[in-house]
Amino acid sequence: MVDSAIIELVKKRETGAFKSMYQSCIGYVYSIVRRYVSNESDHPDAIQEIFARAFLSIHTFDKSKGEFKFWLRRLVINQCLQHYRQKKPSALVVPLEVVKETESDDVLPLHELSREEIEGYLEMMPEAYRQIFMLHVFDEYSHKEVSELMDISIESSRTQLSRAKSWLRKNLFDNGNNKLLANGF
Amino acid sequence: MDSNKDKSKMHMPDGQPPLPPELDWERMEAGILKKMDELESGKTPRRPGNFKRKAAAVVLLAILVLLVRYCTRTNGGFVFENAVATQKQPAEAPAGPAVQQPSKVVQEPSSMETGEKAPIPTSENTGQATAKNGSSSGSPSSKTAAKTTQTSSLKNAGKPSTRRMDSPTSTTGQPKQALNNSTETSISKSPNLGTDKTVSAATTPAIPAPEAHVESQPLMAADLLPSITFFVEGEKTAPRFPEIPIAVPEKSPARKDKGRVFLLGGATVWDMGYGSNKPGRDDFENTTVSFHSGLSYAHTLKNNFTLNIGLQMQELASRFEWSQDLNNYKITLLDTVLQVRVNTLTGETQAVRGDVELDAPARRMVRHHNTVRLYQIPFAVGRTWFSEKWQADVVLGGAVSVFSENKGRTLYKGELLDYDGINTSLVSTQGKLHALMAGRLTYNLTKKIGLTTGVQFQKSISNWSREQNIRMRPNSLSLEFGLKYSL
Repeated sequence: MVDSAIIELVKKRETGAFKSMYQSCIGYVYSIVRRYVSNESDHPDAIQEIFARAFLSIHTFDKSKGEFKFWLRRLVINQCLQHYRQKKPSALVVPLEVVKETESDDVLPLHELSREEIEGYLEMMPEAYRQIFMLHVFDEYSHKEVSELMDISIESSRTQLSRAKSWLRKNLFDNGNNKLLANGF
Repeated sequence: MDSNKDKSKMHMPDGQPPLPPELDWERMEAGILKKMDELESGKTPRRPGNFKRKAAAVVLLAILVLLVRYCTRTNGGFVFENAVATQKQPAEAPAGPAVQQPSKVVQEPSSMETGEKAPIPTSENTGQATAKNGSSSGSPSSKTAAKTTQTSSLKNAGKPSTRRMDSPTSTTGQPKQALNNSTETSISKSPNLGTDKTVSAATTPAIPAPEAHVESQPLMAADLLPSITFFVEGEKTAPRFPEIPIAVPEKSPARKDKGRVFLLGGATVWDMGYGSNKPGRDDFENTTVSFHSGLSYAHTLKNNFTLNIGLQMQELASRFEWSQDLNNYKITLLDTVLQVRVNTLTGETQAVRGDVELDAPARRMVRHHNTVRLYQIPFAVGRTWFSEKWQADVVLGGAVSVFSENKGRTLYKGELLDYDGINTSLVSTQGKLHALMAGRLTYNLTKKIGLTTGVQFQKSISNWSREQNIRMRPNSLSLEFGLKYSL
């Protein structure tokens, strides 16, 4: 994703290296940011904050512990959640609604949907569900990690994920996505 | 359900969304750099979770800064004192060829400030210096200075010096060890007493020679300036501080006092002190816990003897309890049913009421709080012993009651008698002499003020009673607490 040489130059605060790293990572960062930050007008501000923190804390990146991509992803997600909390501190309160809370082992064949379709469903998904759903399903965070990130209990993480899946299942059915339904979803 | 087992886990489909134009580096660069500045300067809004942690860190940092400042101030005092000693020495050193070399060494700081290069001796000279130190003490008068120099050389061997001579070296970039060695060499080569003394004071401020003791000289502002420069320019190595002689505090600072004032008060137990013949009222009077307070002055005489005089008030209290059976004591019962009449024909009853007077057993109880208040002038001779912060006093003398007040009720010749006055028909308390003995223990909080506790015993020598064949010589024991103030 990013050359080690560029990382070293960023550590030395080379402005040219900043640009190189930004251009190498902006696509990946943006793909994450637009999933977590629903308001498009907030994207530039969130991305500026992310890269500012990335440049300043680049010295904490340890190549032996993993790829730069994963280090950056964690930073981006953390920053997105931080941004989300600052913008909507009360949005994490999950509205009560009647949802079947039994967690299903059903396969969610989202890979059969296009990016636009997935993003469309995610935009419609309630904020609280969406965060946990993305963290768990797309970014492979465990319930424990999600609970730490979102400052909720592990049990709440499980419940919200179950609700998110139920919501998604319901909306896929309502929209008549026969392709998914035919696959047993 | 663990995340590892979650079958729904997947990645987003490949391909990144097209970037909007506002995310170009040219447009974002300024914002990113600005945010970096804000983050570095700490202007970003703080998360409430981190606030306590950061506040604790700030508090710890503040404590650390205060400690460092305190230590720095203490060290600064040491440097100033030595600087005065160092600067005053060249003036005392006799002029002459033999003095020139050491004087030059001493004056190096000033020459370095003007940009001149000082000669840097080689490190080989150090060995010569140490070897020659023993032979350089030829004259008896120079022994002290040479000895001091030797001690300095031994103590400084192998250790980086942080003294005043290092400062110019560090500013000119010369090796510090070399300059240290040059200092030692200069000392050893100077045969003159004045020279030795001068250089030893400059190089070994930690161990001042008895002749070169200058701590009583006042610091002048001009004297402080070079030493301040030295301290600021000093190397990073922690300075090795000298053994500063600490004045040993006096074991008993109160011993030199001209006198001491005691303000004491406390509780007193006492008894009437009747002789073999006791008055009838003795059965009805019981002494109770009383109190006293006083101010006394102990003037210090020779050999820690003291002369004590003061003013004291004692209130001796007693309780009079007497009872008497009353004969022919009548009570009247009002509206009492005297008779009940019954009509035999109708069966109707009728109560006849009236007042009835009856004889009843009765007892008269008399209780009274009696007081004898004495205003006394105690006079006594004492002896004081000192031990660290403690002091003990023993006092032996007397007390004269110059004024008294008697107030109460008692039984006299079978009748109750109320009294209120200086002297009553029963007792005379004014102008009476009492023997006095007291012991006090004082803990000196400061040189002037101490906490005192003690006991005081008084025995009346005079007879208080005015009744014939009755002797009344009360005695009292007081437990007292208070303050001592040394004059």
